Amino acid sequence: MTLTHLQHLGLVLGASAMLAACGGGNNSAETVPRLDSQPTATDARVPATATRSASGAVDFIRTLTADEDANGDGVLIDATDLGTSETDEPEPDA
Amino acid sequence: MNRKRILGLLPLSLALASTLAGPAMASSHREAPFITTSPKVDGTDFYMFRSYESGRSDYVTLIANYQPLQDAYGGPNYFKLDRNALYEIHIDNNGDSKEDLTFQFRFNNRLANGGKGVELPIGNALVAIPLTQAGPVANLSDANLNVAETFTVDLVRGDRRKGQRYPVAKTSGATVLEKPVDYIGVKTLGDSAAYATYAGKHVHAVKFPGCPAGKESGRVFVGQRQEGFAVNLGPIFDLVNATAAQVTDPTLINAFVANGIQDKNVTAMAIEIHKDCLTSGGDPVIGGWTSASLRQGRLLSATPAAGYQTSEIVGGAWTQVSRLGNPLVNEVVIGLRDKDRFNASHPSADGQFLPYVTNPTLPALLGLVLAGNTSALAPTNLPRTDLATTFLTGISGLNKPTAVTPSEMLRLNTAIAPVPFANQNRLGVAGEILRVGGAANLEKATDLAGFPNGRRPKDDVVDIALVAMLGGLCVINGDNNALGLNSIPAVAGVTSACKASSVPLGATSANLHDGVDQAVVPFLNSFPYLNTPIAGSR
Repeated sequence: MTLTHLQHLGLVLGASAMLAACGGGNNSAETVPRLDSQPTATDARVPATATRSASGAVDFIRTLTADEDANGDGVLIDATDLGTSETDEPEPDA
Repeated sequence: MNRKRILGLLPLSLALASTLAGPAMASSHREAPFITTSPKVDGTDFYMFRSYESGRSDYVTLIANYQPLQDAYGGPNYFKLDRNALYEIHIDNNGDSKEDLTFQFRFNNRLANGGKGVELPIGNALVAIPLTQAGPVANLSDANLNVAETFTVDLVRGDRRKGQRYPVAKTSGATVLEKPVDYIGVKTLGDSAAYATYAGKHVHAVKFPGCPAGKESGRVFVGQRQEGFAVNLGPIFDLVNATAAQVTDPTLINAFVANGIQDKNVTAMAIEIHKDCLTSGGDPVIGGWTSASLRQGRLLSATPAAGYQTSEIVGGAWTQVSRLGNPLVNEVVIGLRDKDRFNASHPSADGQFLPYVTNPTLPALLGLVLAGNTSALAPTNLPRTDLATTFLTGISGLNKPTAVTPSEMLRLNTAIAPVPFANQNRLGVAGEILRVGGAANLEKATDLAGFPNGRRPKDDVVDIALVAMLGGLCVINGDNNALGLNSIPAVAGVTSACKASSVPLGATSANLHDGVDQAVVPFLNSFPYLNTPIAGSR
C-alpha cells in the first residue's frame, strides 16, 4: 500500500502527538524524521484506467516505455494497486 | 580419431563443455538472460518421484526449487520469496502436453506490529529495527519475527488461468500456511537439530480438494533447504587435476573434485500427494514441470512508502518467465538466443525447439573445441531419436503415456514402486540397465524408479546427461533396438540408427562422469527429503 502526501503528513502529526503524550516529546532533533522530507515527484499520476483492468495497467506502462526523457521526475505512485487479472493472458507485444 | 586419443582429451573436453555451457550451478540456474535479473523466480530444480519415506509409498512427492545459490549469511533480508510472483507446479495426466492440474503458490511477507515492524523505544522515540528478527526464534509465527512469511496453495483443475481453482487447506481448515524463516544462524535458531525441529513445525498436513475419497490427505512444506545438486564447478579452468582414467572410471566418481555448491542453500516448495490424485483414466504416467510468472507490468516508485517491498506496484496478467521440466534442458540444450523464449513457453508449443533436441550442439561442441572437428565425439545417429524419446515422449514400457503429444516435461510412471534411498541407483534407469547387463536382463532390475522416470534427489542427472548426450543410451539400445530408441513415439517417419556403432566413444560413453557424486550429498529419508539448510552463522 502506498501513501499520499496527506497520509505522510498525518503520520508525522501522529508521531508528534504520541511524543507529547509520553511527556518527553518536543520539536527538536529527537523526533522521528519527517517522511515528507524525501524528494517529491512531479504531478504526473497513475490514471484511473490503469487501476481498473489488467489491460489498462499495461497500456499505461507502455506509454511510460515510450518516454525516453532521462531528466524527468517520473510518475507519482498514489494509486493503491494497478489493475490485475488472474485469468487474462498477457498482452501481446506492441 | 581412435578411442585412446578421445579418452586422453576427455578431461579437457568436459571442462570446456562446462565453460561453453556456462557455470552449470544447478540443473537450471541463471540459465537465461532475463532470469538472471530476477533470482526470486529462477526455478533451479524440479523433483518428482514416488515417496520413499517408510509408509508413504502410495504418495508422489513434487519439489520445486527456486532462488539459487543462496549464501547462508545473506542477511538482513535473507531469501524471502516474491509476493508479486506466482509459482506453479503443473501436471499433465493425459499426455496431451497441457496441464490438467496446477498447484499455485502465492507468498505474503508482512511486517510485524500491524505493518510498522518491530519497534524499540530509544530515548523518546519508537524506532523500527533493521533486522528480520528481534530475538531467538523457535515457534510457528514466532513473536520475535519482524517479518511473517506466509503462503497459500491453490489447486487448479484444467487450464492454469481459466480452470477451476480450489484452495488447499490445512486439516484445521486454515488456508494460510506458514513458512519458516531462513536459517539465519545458531544464536537465533539453535543448532542444526533445533532448526530441523523448527522447520518441521512448518510441514503442514493438508487436504487436496477433488481427490478420490480417502486419498485427499497430503503434506505441504515451503522453506529453505541445503542445495541438493552436486556438480563439478571448481576445476573448470584447472585442467591438470583431471585425467581420462578418472572421468571414465566408475569407482572414482567422487575422487578428485569438491562439489562447488555444497555450501549453498535454495528455497524448496514441496508437495506430497496421493498418486491417485494425480493420475487419470487408468494411465499411471504423469508429466510435470514448474513455472514462475510475474505481472506483465511493473511501476517503480521514486518515493517508496514505509512498508515491505514498496518500491514497486505491479499490474497486468501473469506472464511466465521461468520454466523447468527435465533437468539441464534450458541450461545446455536450448541455444542462447532462445533461452528467454523457452522460459516463457508452454510444452504444447515445443515443436519450435525440436531441432535443439534432435540435432544437439553439445556433443559437437566437445569435438570442435578439442580437435577442430564437430564429429569427434558426437554420436552419428541424427536426428537423435534417443534424446527426443527420452525428453519429449518418455520411453515405451517405462514412462511413456498411453497417448502422448511430444513435449518437454519430466515424466513419472506412478505404477513403478519406489526404492529406499540406500538402494537407489545414482545413475537412474540407465545405470540400472547397465548394472544388470543390458535391456535383455531387465527382469533382474531392482530400481527403475530413477531419472528419467521422474527424478529423485539422489539421481546424478549431470552424469546421466553426459552419458545420454554422448550416446550411452544408444549403446544400451543396441542392434536390436531394445529400448525402442530408433524412432520417436507419436512422430511417424523419423528414425535413426541408435546403436553402439553410432557412438564414437562406444561402451565407454556409459562410464562418463563429472567427478562429483550426487549420491554423497546429504539428504533426508523423509518429506521434504532435501536437507536442513546451512546456517548463516555457526
